[in-house]
Amino acid sequence: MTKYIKKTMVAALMLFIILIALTPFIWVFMASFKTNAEILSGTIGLPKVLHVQNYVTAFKLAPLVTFYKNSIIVGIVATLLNLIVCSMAAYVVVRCDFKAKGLVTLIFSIGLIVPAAALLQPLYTTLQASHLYNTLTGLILVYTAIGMPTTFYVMVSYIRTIPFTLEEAAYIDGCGFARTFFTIVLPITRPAFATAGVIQFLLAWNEFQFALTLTGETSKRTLPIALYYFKSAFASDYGAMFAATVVVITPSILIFILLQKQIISGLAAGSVKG
Amino acid sequence: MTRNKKWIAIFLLPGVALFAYIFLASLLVLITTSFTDWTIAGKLSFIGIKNYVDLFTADKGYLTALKNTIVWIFLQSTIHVLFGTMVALILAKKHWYSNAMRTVFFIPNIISSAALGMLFLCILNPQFGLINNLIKKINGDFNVNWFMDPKTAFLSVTLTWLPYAGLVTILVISEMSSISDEIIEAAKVDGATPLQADLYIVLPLMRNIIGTSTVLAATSMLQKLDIIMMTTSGGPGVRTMNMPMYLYQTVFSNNNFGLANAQGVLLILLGVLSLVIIRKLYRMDDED
Amino acid sequence: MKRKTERVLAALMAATMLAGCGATSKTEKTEEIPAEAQETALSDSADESSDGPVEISYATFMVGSHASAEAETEVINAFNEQYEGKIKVVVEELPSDDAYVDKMKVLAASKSLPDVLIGKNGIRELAIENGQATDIKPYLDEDAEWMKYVGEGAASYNTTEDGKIYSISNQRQLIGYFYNKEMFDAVGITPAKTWDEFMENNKKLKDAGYTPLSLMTGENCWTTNLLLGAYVGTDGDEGNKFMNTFYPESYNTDSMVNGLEMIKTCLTDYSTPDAVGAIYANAANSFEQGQTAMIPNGPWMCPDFTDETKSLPGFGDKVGVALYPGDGLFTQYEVGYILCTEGKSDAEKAAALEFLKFKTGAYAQSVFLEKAGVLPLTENVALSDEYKAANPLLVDLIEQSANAKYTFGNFDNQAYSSVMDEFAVSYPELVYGEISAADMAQNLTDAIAKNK
Repeated sequence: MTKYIKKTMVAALMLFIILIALTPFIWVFMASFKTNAEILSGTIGLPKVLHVQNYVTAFKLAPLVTFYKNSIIVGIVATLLNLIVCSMAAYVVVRCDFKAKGLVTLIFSIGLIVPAAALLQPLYTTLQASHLYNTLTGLILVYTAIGMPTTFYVMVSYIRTIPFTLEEAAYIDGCGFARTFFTIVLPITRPAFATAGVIQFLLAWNEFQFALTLTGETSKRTLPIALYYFKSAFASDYGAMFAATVVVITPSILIFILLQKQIISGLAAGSVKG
Repeated sequence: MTRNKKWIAIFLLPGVALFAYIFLASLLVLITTSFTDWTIAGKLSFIGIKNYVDLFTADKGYLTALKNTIVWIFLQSTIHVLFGTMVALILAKKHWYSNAMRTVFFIPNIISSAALGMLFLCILNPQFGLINNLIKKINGDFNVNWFMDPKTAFLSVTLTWLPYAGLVTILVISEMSSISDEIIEAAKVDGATPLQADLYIVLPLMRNIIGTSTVLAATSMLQKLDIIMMTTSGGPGVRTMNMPMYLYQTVFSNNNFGLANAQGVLLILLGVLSLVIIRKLYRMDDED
Repeated sequence: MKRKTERVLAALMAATMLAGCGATSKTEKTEEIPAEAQETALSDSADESSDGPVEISYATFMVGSHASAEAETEVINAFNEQYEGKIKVVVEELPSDDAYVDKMKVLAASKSLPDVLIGKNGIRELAIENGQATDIKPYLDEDAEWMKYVGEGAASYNTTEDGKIYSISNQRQLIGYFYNKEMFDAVGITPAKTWDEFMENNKKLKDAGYTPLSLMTGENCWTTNLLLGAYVGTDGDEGNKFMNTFYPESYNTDSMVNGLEMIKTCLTDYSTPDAVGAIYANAANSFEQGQTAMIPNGPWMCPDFTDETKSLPGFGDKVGVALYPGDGLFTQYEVGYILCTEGKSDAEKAAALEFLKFKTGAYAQSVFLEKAGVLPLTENVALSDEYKAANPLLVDLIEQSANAKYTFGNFDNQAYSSVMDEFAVSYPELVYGEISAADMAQNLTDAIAKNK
């Protein structure tokens, strides 16, 4: 009896999640095949005719291909850089004793609590002064820095769960500090690495305000800016905007599914720790 | 566990350097200019704490923004985290739907807010929106303007953040992979039900990551801007105004950098305060 | 073994540090690099003696789905072609009006506005204040041909109190309202001559089952504020003067309070259920889908009426255009292009001026007219007969404009951004009875002080 109730409750919860999470996705996907009028009249369900034209318009009105290329570079490099920088810091914060731990934690938390709107102008000046305005390198560094807190926290939390015995064994075998970290610790943290990587990638992939403010030329811009090519005061093209949205989110979903395997493999294996 | 100082320095250096390059100068500008009357056009002179005083006396909006932000931080760090963690406990087990549901729940975090904002406007539209039409089918004459009715605006904006709870779920699940099956099996042998195992064994082990999720969820409320901007602009009146939205308007509508940076300083202080409280509550600084 | 790891790690560190300090290393590099590289650097910046073209910067929001995007590209390409080898315009595309204004404000704060840009939404004032804006009047005075196409009207509209001209308008605006002739005929009404008649018409339309007005209070409250502005602008000489004032000092006038009362009734009784909080696209769609009888808006909307992804089939023939009750019409010039070349090299100054002249000259105005329905500044750019035949509504509006008794500008051009923000959050409070019309006028007045 209680089992039956429990099953019903879990089913209700899953249904609720599907409702709040999948409705947006299905809605966006269907809207990408609708005309402006259909979207704005709230037509529910399938579009009358598959308005594939939206996808053509999307590629015609916005420099999607250039932006795509840039976004891939920025997304991948900013993610890798961020993961390396933060996991190294997280490792020493968990495993080593030093006085400035509190300060280091604050430094790595700062991205969470500094308001972006207040950062725009000073950051513009900083990048301009260091000749990184209007460069992908500039964007990569900014995203790496802004994403530091999440990765840092996730890695700290995960490394704490790893028993020290493994590393100890490595040291006894004559393994150095860095080698232990890269060959023993990092592979174990794979699930956390993957999770933090997804979050960091999404940040670099979806961020709009810094991307627009810190670049000046179309050749140096990233995908989120593309969505705004379909919004203008009196002539927004929502069909094309949702078509572009589908084009933008598809790789994110693929990457998520791909990296999820890493997370789940950890779950299934039961892992080496205890 | 003290180790070679050289390695500690080397491992910390890249992050600290990046912090210095991206944030340090900006922070210094932010703090110093919060005591000036700096405007976009560039005039600047020292005015002491006038900006801070003005925030609380010259415009009733800021107090509301502060209050709303704190309420939202609280709701996020409780309901949001609880919801996400609960789902994680279910989806970490091997059900036939677990894999698919993990992806499904994460999708709202993938869709950019420009599209989500438009989506919320469409499905909550009082005339043709999905929600109102569904209710009309059941309840006949029904007409609520969710974002604009002063009675429902705050609740509506609060609910737009619920789909993002998938982030908490993913964080918790990824850390669950560090628990070995043996512990759970041992508990089962001792006669624990799966629910008891979750409550008394899994959850305590998840303390750190739940704390981390709480930190992320709480501080995300110090940055939330896009959806509010696209739906209510902080209205009706100031009912859905929060600190980031107020700050954004102070910079980009009112051209007032000095006042905005005073808000920036307060926002950072509130952030540090939230961090300290959450870290204490979850004992995140303790070793296990 | 240990050593190898250390070396790998050191390399990694070095790479990270390089990236982190790209700043300094890059500057050093430019200092080190001798003769040849410096030559290219020189030709990049504006130096007449070098043989490369002078590069000037220009920022635009007329991209993507913007109605003028095509015209904009054509004009810029034509300029770059005509001045090939001499001047090159480097364009920064800023999709969506909001993104444009935000970025320009960041640039204004850093004193790095592009050479030429549109100075709307207070950007011109910031450029004047930060010292980047150039007074264009002397140049306008010495070029009669240019002046002919800019016209007295636009020039005097943009003349400051101390007799300077900091911007050249990019268009003249005539804004009345569009109405659905079928619905008007069915109810037996014609465009109202007075505001009382206007409200009676609304009632008749509503009684016949039609929704009279496409209003919206999201974004910048565009259609709603047009109706409000039209009411105030036709409310005697005082109201009219108010609607012709840039940045008024107070909104606590009788005209405003009465106007807001009327708008409250319109939003509550005579508009779509989603009017409060709707965005422009919602209001436009309601009209174009034959759900509402009237929408206040300008002639740039006309191409939508024959676009079947937006309007009902055959909708174009059903639309009429009218002056507001009391024979009112929004007729005004946009702020237009500003020149930000103070403190830049003479070559850059001259090149930017050349571009500004081109952008506001006869050719550009005719391209914008033909491709985007943007009204030229003077009658010296004539409407071709084919154009007239294809755009009857625009011709109709121009003819009616001769009969306008009251002309005025709109809030969007004449109010501070802080006031525009206040409109959007106060309308819902007004409609839901949280505040009175007088309270709302006071809120708007209070918002003035926020602007810096």
